[in-house]
Amino acid sequence: MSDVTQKRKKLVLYIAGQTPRSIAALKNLERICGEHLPGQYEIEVIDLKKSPALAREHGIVAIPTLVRELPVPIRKIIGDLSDEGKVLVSLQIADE
Amino acid sequence: MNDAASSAVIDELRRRLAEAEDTLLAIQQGSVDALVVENSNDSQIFTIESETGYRAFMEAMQLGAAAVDLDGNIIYANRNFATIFTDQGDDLQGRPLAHVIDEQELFERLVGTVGTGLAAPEIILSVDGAERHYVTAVTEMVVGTTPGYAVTFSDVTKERLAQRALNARVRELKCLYRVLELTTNDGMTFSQICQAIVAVLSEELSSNQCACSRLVINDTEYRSECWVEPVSRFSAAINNENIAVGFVELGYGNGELSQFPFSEFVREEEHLLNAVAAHVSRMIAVASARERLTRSDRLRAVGELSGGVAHDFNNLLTVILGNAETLAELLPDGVAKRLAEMTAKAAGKGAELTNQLLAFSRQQVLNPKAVDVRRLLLDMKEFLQRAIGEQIHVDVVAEADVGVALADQSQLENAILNLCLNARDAMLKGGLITVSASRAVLTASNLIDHGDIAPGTYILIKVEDNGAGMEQEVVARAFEPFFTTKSKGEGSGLGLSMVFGFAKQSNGTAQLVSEVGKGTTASIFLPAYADTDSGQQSSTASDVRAQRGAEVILVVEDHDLVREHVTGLLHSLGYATLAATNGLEAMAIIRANDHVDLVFTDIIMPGGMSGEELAAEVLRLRPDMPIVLTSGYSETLVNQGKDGGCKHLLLKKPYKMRELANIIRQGLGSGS
Repeated sequence: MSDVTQKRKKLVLYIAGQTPRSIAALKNLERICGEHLPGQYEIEVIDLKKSPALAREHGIVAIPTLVRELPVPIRKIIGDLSDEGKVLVSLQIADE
Repeated sequence: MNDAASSAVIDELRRRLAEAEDTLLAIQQGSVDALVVENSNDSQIFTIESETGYRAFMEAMQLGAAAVDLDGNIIYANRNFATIFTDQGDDLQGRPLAHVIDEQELFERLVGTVGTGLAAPEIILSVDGAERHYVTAVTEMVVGTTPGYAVTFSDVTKERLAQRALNARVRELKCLYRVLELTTNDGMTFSQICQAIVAVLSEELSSNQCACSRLVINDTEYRSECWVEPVSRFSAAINNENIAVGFVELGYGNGELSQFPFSEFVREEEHLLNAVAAHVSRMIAVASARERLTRSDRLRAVGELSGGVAHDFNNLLTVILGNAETLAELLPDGVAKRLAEMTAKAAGKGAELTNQLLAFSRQQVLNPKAVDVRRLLLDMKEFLQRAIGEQIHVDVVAEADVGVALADQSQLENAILNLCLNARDAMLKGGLITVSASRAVLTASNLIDHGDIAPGTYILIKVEDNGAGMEQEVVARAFEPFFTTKSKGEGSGLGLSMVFGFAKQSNGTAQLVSEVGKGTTASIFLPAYADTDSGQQSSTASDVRAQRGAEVILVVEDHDLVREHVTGLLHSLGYATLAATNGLEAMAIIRANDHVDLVFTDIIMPGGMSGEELAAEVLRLRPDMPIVLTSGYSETLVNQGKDGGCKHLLLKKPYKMRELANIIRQGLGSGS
C-alpha cells in the first residue's frame, strides 16, 4: 500500500432515503472534505432504506451516521455533521 | 490480561460510551431523522425526522388530530384530541377510536366518507351535559408502513352556539315584526289577528315541527293548526289595564325533537312570548282607548249639534211663548184665549225639551251650590216612592258622613228622579231600587275606568235596580241623546243624556253598569265640596206672581222679533222702554238720556261690542246702573256665571213673562 493510499480516508455515510438530515449530512461532509482533505478522501453513501441489513453489520442505530473506516480505528459521528469542529476532530484531521 | 490490553479494552469501552452519548445527544438535538430498530432476524428503519417536525406542529395546533389504523385503533393522538375525549388528556395510543368516542357507528360514519368526495360529518358530542360541536376531516394515510386514517376534529362549538343565538335573535325579531304588523293591521278583525298570531308563532320557531301555540282572551281560544296537548309549555299573560284578560302559550308537542336537541324552553323563547303578549296587550289597550274616544267624541259632537239647535229654538220659543202669554192675558175668555194658552203650554214644553238638550250638551245654566247629599236623598225618598209606584220598593242608603257635593240641587234631583224612572221601567214585575250615596276617592290608578275626570274626592250616588238589565251594545249607547229602547212616544231618549251632561258639566261623570237578567247600576260622580260648614240650601222658588214697575228699561237686542217681543212684555208689565240694536247705539242713548233705570242686554251682538263690554262701558258712566244680561246660547251665561265673578243678573232664553218680571224687579231693587 502506498502512503497516498494509506493517507486516504475512507468515509461511509449511512442515510435513510432523502430525509432532510441525511441530505444535510451529505452536503456538510462534501463541503468539509473539499475544504480540508482535497484529494484525500473517498466517500461511500449507503441508503439503509434500500438495504437495512447493512445497519446491523456496522452497528448503526441512528441515521445519519458517518463512519470513518480508514484509517483505523473506526470512528462514528452521529448526526447531520453541522458542527464542523467536531467533525474535524473526529476525522483526526486537525492534529494531522 | 496485561495492563496494555486491559487499557485498550477500557479505551474501547469509553469510545463506545462516548459514541452512545453522542447518539443520544444527536437524537435529543434532532440532528438525526431515522432510527434503526433491530429485530431478531431483521432490521427496520424508522424515519423520525419528519414525524418529529409534524408532531410539534400537531401538538401546537388547535385541531384534535389522530392517526388510526384501518380497524380504528389509535396509533397517535395529539393532546387536543385526547382532551376532547378524556378529562385529563389521557394517552389514547392503542385504544380503539370507537371506544373513545363511545360510538362504533360514528367511527363508521367518519371513515365512510373517505374517497367519496363527501365532507366528513359535523358531530355533536355531549361533554358533562354541555354540547360540543366538531367539524371533522378524515383522509387515508400510511403510518410507518401501517395503512390507516388521519382524523381531525375542529371545535366549532363557540361558532355554532353564537350562530344559534344569532338565529334565535333573528327568528325572534322576525316573529315579533310579524306580530307587530298584525297587531297594527286595521284591515283585520280582532279574532283574525289572534288566529294569525298563533300561526306565526308556530311557523317562526326552528322546532316548528313540534311547536304549537294558542292565545286565550276573554274565554275565547285561538289555536295554531298543529295544536296538540303539549308536553312542555310556557305562557305569558295578556293584560288590559293591569288586569289579566288572557294569555298566549307556546308548547312542544309529542313530535320528533331530533332537529332540536332541547325539549325545554330557552330564554329567547320566553322573551319572545313575553314580547308577543305585550304587543297583544297594547293592541287591546289601543282598541279600547279608541272605542272610548269614539264614544266620547260622538257624544261631544251630538252635544254641540244639539246645543246649537237648542240655541236657535230658544230664540224662537222666546217669541212664541211670550206672545202666546201676552195674548192669553189680553184676550177675553173664549176659544181664542184657550188657543193662546195651548200655544204657550206647547212652547213651554218645547222649552223644556231644549233645556234637556242643553243639559246634555253641558250648556245648561247651573247654579252649583253645596248640597248635603244624604239630606237630599232622605228628603226625596217619599217623593220617589210616590213617583215610582207601589210595586217597586225604593230604598235609600246614605252613610252619615257622605258629606257635601258641589252641584245644582234641582238638576241633581232631576237626575236622580230620571234614573229611578229608568229603573222602574226596567222592572215591569216589580222589584227593588236602591239609591245610595258614598264617598269615592279617585286616584290616577283607578281613574281609567271613569273616563276623563280629574283625580280627587267625589260623592258617588248610585241608583241600583234588580230589573231586566241591558245588552252591552245598549249600555254603550245609552248616554246618546234620542237613543231609546222604549217604543215611540214613550220616551224622548233624553233622560240619561241629561244625567250624563249634568254630571259632566258639574265636573263629575256618570256611568252605567248592566248585566242582562241581573239589573243595572247607574252612578253619578260629583265633586265633593271641601268646605262642609258653608253648605247652604238652594233658594226656594221665586215669587209666583209677576212683579210690575214703571221705570225706564233700555232694551239692547239685535234680533228684531225678540226686541219687539221683549219691549212688548215690558210695556205690559208697566215699564217704559228704550230700544237699541247694538252696543254703540245703546251707549249713545245712555249718554243722551239720564232717565234709564236698567239696561237689559243680549250678550252676543253684532257691531263689535258684546253685552259684557257694553255693561262695562255703562258702568263707567253710571256706576249704579243695574244690568241684566240675557242669552239663548247658554254657554255664554255659563261662562259669565263661572267663578262667581259676574256682577250682573243673568236671564236665560226662552223666559216666561214672570221670569222676566222677577229679574227686572230684582235688578231695579238692587239698583235702588
